[in-house]
Amino acid sequence: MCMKNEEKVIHAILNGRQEEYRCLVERYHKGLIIHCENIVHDRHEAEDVAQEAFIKAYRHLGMFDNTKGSYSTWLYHIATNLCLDYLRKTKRKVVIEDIETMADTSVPVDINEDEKDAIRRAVDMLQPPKFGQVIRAYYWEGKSYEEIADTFETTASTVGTWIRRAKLQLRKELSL
Amino acid sequence: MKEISLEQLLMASTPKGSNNDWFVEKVMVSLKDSQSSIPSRITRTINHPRRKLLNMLCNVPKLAAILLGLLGIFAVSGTAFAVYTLWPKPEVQTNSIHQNQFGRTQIIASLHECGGEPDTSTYEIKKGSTLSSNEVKTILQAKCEMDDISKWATNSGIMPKEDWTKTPKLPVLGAQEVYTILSPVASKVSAITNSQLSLTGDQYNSPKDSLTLSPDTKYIVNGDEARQGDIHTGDAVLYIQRTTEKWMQNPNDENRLVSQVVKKDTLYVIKVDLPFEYYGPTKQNMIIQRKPCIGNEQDSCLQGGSIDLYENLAVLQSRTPADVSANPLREIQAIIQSYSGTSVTAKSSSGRVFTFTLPSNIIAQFNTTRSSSYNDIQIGAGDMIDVRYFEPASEHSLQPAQNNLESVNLVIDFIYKSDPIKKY
Repeated sequence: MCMKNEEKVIHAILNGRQEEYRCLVERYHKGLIIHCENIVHDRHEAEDVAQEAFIKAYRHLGMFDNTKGSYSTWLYHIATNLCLDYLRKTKRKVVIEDIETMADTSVPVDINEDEKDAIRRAVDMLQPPKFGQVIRAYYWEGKSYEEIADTFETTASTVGTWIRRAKLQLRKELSL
Repeated sequence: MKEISLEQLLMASTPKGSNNDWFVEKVMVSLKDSQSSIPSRITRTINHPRRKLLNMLCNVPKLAAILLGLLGIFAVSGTAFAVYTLWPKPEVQTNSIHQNQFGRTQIIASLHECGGEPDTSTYEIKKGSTLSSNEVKTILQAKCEMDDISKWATNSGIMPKEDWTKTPKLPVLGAQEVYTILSPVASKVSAITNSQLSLTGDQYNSPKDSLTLSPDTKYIVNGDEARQGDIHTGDAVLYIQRTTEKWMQNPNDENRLVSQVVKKDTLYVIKVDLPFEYYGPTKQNMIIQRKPCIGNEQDSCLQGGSIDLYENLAVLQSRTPADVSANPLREIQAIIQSYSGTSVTAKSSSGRVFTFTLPSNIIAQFNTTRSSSYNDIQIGAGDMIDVRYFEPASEHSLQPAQNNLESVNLVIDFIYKSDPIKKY
């Protein structure tokens, strides 16, 4: 993942270095796809919406004001609005307040290295070990359920069940 | 630490070097693609095959209405005294038909037994449509009937219930998948034998292949179980089909799977009350629903397409969870009365006149630089815009603050997605 200073990256992009945007996409795309998937409940649509959010954020980067909040919060709000539009277009019932709140509870957070180590250890200790593998694949490598299912020669719904069980173990282990 | 979700913690713990390169590349390529400069709200297409079908169903306007008792304007001979036992016969009533302030024929309709709760809704006949106002009731009736049948099929377990909270099952190489669908539009029976049902219609409702009938196929007429002999040539029918597919490797893309149909079972053939064309998008998309605008309930907003003219994504930055109730999102649709530079005055459906102050002359910008991508339309007085903005819950200003504007869109009008873009 790109570890460059975000403020400098944005400054470089605004000065015409479009390629620097790759850094922001690398940093946030996995979480953003999952965030959209949680709202629209369709991986393919979530990827499309996340892509659209990145493009929109790029086109409007000149409006971004880092004194008002982080780039990630802004990006997640943009994506949330696009998800909302998608749900309205498909005439799916949607509670706007819930979705807006969701944007605030799923934006990326920064935690210290000790906490990161604790979480990674908890993932390593998941039993059976395949639970750890699916968590890494889904959250860290950005793979879809179908890609993971392909690897394990199982069904995507089974992968979903494994992830839910793994998260239960993690919550217990991390006292969440 | 407990206020942070587990998903956030997992994402924050991503080790260095983990990436999903294809997605990153896709975004970067899109940035260079000239198409990325065209607002996507109306250009986005849905490629997932199952979603396409779902979208086809969903794109049929959400309708409501009540049938004028047994005096329907359409031919329902032989059905007037039928007892519907599997689902209730919908009742549609048009309470008022008049020309609204936008010069469109507006219908206020109420419905009972229309796939769910009773409702009262407002519809407009779209510009360019060939509908008479009387036909609107028939279209609403057809939609209600489809909703009722769909509800029955789901509640009776024939079709799976949609669970939007669950991640859909995704394809796996070699796996078989079975799904059951109700035909989204009705077709006309052109021939029926013991083993085959041939259907015809227009470009939207002519199945390519005949349906295979088996001794297990069931038939429904007048909302009640019937026999095959009760279905005749010329009848309009819906059908429920169970398809078994197998996922195979896409020969052109090693990262994608394609599905191959293994078999199709026709579970139900359902005769519907009206001529088949009323159940298809040709008729159904000729009307559009008006719903109360978000946060401006005294005004109505069309539930259709639009083109982005202005977006102030920066306004989203300062949103906090408390703002959801303290500074709610509001939406208004209004006809441009006048504009001068950055100031736009527009009148909403309730007659309120809003003045929007924008940081730049978005109308002139569109007309000079973007119009060619949109059928050369020029925006001016008389055109409808859709504005979204945030405002303190206690206020209802007619001059929303410039820095609280979230977006301004031009409302457009189209019956088919492939139609040239035209203004409302």
